[in-house]
Amino acid sequence: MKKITWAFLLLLFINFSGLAQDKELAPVTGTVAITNVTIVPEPGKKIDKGTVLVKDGLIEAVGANVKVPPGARIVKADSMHLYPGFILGLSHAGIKMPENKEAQNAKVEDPGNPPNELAGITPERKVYQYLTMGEKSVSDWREAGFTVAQTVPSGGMLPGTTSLILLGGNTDNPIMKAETGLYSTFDGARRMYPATVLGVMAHYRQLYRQADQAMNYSNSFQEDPSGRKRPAKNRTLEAFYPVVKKQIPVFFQAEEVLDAQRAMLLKKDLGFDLVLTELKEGWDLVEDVKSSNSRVQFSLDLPDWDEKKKDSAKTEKNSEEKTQLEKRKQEFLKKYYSQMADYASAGIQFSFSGIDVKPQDVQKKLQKIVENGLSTDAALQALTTTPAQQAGMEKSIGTVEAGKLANLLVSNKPYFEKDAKIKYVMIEGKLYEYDLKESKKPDAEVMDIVSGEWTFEADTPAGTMTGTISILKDEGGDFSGSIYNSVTGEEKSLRNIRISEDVLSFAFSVTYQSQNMDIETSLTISGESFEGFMEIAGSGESFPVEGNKVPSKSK
Amino acid sequence: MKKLSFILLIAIIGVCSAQNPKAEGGSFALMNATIHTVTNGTLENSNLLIKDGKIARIGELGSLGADVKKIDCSGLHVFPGMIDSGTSLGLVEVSSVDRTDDSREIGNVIPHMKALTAVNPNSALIPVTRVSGVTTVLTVPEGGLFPGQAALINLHGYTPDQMSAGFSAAVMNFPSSGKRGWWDRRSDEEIEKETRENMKELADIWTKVEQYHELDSIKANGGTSVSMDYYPEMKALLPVYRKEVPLMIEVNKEKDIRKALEWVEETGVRAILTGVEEGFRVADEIAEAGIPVIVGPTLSTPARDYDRYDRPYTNPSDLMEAGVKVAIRTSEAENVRNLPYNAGFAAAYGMTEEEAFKAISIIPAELFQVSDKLGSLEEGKQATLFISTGHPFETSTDVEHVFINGWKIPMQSRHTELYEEFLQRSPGLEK
Amino acid sequence: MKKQLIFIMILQFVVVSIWAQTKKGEVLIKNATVITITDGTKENTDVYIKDGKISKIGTDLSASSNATVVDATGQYVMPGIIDAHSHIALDAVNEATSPVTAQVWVGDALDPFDVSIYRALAGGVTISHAMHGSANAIGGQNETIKHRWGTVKMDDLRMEGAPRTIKFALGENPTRVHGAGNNIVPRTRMGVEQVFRRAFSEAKEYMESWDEYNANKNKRGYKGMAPEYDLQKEVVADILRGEIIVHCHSYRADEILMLMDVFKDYGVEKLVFQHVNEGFKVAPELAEFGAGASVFADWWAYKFEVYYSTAYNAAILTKNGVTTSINSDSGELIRHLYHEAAKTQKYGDLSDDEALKLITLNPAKQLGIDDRVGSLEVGKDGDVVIFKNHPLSIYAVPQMTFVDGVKYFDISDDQDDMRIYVDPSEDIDVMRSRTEHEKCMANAEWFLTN
Repeated sequence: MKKITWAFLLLLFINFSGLAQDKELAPVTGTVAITNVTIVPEPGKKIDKGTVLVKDGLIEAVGANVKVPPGARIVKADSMHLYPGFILGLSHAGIKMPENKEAQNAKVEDPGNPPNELAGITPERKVYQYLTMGEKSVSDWREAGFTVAQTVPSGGMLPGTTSLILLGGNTDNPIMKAETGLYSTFDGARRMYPATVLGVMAHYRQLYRQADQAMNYSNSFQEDPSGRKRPAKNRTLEAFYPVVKKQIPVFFQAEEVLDAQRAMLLKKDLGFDLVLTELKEGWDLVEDVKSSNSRVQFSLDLPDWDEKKKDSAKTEKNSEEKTQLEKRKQEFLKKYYSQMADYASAGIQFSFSGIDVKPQDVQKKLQKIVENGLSTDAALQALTTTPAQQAGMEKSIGTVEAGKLANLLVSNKPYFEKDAKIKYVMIEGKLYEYDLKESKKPDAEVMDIVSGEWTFEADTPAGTMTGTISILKDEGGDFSGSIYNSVTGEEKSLRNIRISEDVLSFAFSVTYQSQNMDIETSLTISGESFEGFMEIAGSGESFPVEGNKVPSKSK
Repeated sequence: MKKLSFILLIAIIGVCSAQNPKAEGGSFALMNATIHTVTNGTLENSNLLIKDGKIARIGELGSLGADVKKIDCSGLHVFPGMIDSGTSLGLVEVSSVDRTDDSREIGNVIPHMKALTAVNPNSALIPVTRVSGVTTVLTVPEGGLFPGQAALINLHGYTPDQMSAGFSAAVMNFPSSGKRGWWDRRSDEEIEKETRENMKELADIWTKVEQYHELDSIKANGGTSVSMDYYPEMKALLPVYRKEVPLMIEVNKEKDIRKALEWVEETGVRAILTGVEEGFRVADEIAEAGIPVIVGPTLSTPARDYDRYDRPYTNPSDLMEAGVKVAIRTSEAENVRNLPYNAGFAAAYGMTEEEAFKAISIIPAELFQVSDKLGSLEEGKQATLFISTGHPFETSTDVEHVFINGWKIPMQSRHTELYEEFLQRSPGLEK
Repeated sequence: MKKQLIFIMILQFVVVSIWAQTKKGEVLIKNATVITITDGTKENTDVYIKDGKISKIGTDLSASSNATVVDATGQYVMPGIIDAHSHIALDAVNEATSPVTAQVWVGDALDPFDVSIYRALAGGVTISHAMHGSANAIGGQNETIKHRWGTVKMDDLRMEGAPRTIKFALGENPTRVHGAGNNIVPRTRMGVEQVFRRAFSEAKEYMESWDEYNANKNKRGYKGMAPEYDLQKEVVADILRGEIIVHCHSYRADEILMLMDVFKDYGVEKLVFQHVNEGFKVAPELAEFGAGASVFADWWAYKFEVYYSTAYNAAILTKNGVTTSINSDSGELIRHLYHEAAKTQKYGDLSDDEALKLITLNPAKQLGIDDRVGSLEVGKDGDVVIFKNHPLSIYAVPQMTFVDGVKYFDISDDQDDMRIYVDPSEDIDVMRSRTEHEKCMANAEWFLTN
């Protein structure tokens, strides 16, 4: 009986559930005016107290004296700052690769000549095959101010062909440009050719030259088929044709300085257009990049720059050695963040890629880069006009001007200033609004204790629900976890696990009577127990929860 | 006739060389040698009498009996046999062939495993080693926390007992806090946890040894009511606990050395630290604790990328200068013959020649409680020594004779035999 | 006037572009005992290096004011040591996925950050032969590198103009990896032979079909398809054309003879055996073929195929007229190759010059660079090392090492931490680092790389 009431209550809330993380404002009209805002329409320009008028996804007018037509929705952005929506140079945003466990453990008969699929040689893969706009990565990048991304499947040395997509707006039609580049990495295959960087380099040369040869023959065949053998159909080689014809560049993932040199070596040998992407260690390569006529996308997954940890050395003995080592580490830390300024002053244009970085860390990293010498104008260029040009799309995106796609972001302070927060993101006229709540640093004690098993008891309107929560911290400091509850008897994984001061929050979904609902949880941890509440997303209805840590078993 | 005797002669020689030569016993007088006593300086133009396996006399020998075989040593040098304080000689024949490797038994705490049991007196590696003047080695089991007991052996004898040089000691691999290698994907947290667990296991073991010691003491004092089950692990650790024998603690990383020093202080065991790769970082603390070390191999690469390139060469002298008693080892099996060069590099990088030679002679003899028999040339000690054309640290030096326990060792090994056979191969190219 | 200016500008540009290739130095070493290798040992002699080349050897030499002047009174100068077999400065050693991987090239995997390079310099080694591992019967192409420490550029390590070389391997390693590991020929030494014969024959066919295509393609009306490009066969074909020196990992006498027979059948002549622990057994055959031998000083018994070996190998080979070198194959031994060479005086009583040739002129010959390096002669590269004490003494301590007249090691100027890049996120307490990772990877594949 009690259970039935509980279920009834749940059902009541279902209508309110399932909202996206960023609370979308339902469009009533296609005309929106953002008013009284400081506009940076393009790097180096500024309009005080201006208005941006958007109509049906395009920018209608920009300026200080724009007339707002009656019926337009007005978004007052007093004292806020408006920028062109950011463009991400390369990422896996929205890509959901099928899990293929069989392939991962496959043992091929001849490891020297494995099927391309297993060896990571799939340049023919296209973004549309794997794009899922509901992926969290899409909303996360959007929340970080990015409106357009170049995106690509992942896995192996030739994971696929890149596309330019919108990170919101009309999600039924997200692809702006289908084939923008060939994505390449130095990742070898597992226990089959090419397994190491040696194999990858050699095989790249082989495939490229074979593609060149096959393309030429196929052209001759088309011109004059009589007397010629019919060319073999080879999807792998065909994917190289637009690269060989220099219609699209190769985006080579090259994080380390040696990988970047290897990519340039291949460019020298084979002659393709090269974009070094996800570059982390580029400070010694300014001249090489310039003379080889390569282009650059810097990674934003740069090493953490914590303000001095006061680690009072336990042993005085080697303090001199340690000081010296610490000094060198600091010196190199700086190089990661100051290299962009060097490239800018050498006149090399660059954008940013987001293969590894967490979208929520991007702003912090960019601010650090600006702190280390890159002008905010140059930084903005790297986020807007340069990637637009690199993709050949500068006529529709990259600046705030009439006729362009209404891709914008609005922040409460100048974006590169400390504590600046994004309030609005607009993609093709669709407005996304965000909270300006401050997130606080996690409490050290809580960080220590949070990993492990917890039992919980929730006091729902219908009675007591019990279960277990397990939280795992991986090497990179990211959390993952799962929750089991006694009511539905399901084990579900946790999403959006965050720790702010002593509060652990996460979301999970439960399926009840084939209805899916999201539950947001917020728990205050104190010692080995917690108290808090769970909320059925969007309903405003919440109920108290408490729980305790399960002591970890020693082996 | 003449021809016939010549053929006969050849035949006899052929038979002789086909036979494995035996060691030669008896009394020997080494005449007119430069004698490096190690403990009493160097004697020019002096003599040494070997009798009954011992050094009977050094100096003027007086009249010698007809049975004494004289060896003219003018221009030659006599040194005590070199002692390698850490090898797997006798336990390992071909390291990549598992079936020939007896250095690792199953189990984490197996201090009752005895290396001496598995020493193969017929290992081809033994003659190769001893003809270079390395006469005595500590052979050490490998593996977990307590992998067994190391044994000091002389490199001559037909049974392990004949080879035994009268010392054995339990070995301990101190829990390591570092990554084991590139493949070690454990996070820092996991490593710390594992180290903590290992330290806890060590503490547990020590509590058990303490209990075992108490029971054993009661029993020894006539406590007939005490019954003690078969517990070979505890029995093997008892003399260590009672400080009757030293414990050889293998430890290399700075942090771990510090922890090991703490543990030694807590338990009061008679410790010898072995390996001690980063000893130079903790030299003063080791000196203060008064614990001797066995370092090496000297010929190895620095532990950290940011270490000075010659750290392994200078580690022995850094430790010695801080006041630590230092012996040198190779940690080898087939390359134990390079012991003098491991010491030689220590001499080239900071130690004096005498100090470095002590680290492979009298100091190990002291550490292994056999300095009454080995490690220097003194009357009454075992005649375990070698005669060479110069100092053994130099590769231009040839070792001419080796004596172990008074036995004159044949200067032959697989390597010399192959040299003699193949220097001028016959037939050559013709069929 | 204007013309002159332009001329100077052009000149500057040319000079700058030469400098941008690799640095060349000027140095005058005074009053040393000079071990020339090819022209005896000269007391109280000066060596003058200009623009990276040995310019003069003699007494009372003078230099320009730009030169580094070193007073080497009481010290020894010898040519930079050359290691004909190493795996330092490499990010990857084995592409162990197939018995034939001629298409791969370790020059693609050079790692100028490997601190082993500096440590080798500190042992007087100026050139090493960075080799592919020995997992495959036909492994990858190697790279001869100069130890120009401090650069971050892969290209700066390459010894410009050095001949191409490739790694072959016999015996336990390829049979273990492919036969035992993947159930692919070769599992035995019989199979190894056939791998070579097949690869050579197929490359020959490939060459012939290209020759045919090239002969016809410009003829009117020719509509044939070109043979499909195959990088592996291209490389094996270059071996058949004599453009690549083969360096073959080998141990047993029978397999050494087998490879020479195969090479005779296909007319391949440039051959150096590596390790070649049983080379002493077939020294007359090696000498007759003209094959080189690059050996360990005393390594043996680490695997079954080296159980019947002798440290007298180098001496026996040398005395039988085989061009012999001593190599390291190790980031440890490479730091004291002078000591490894010195062991031949214990095992076979080689003379000083014979012993030193094993680590200078002979490896240079085996790498095809003896016209450039390996002895102190006017016109050769300014690769030299200065020793305190004779290099064959245990008390030898390298003091300074020069490559192309540029000083890359100076014992009095060593900074302890010589890393080029530092990983800001590494924990300094842990004995682990960027390059150790790479090295240990090679060590873990130890049975593959030796």
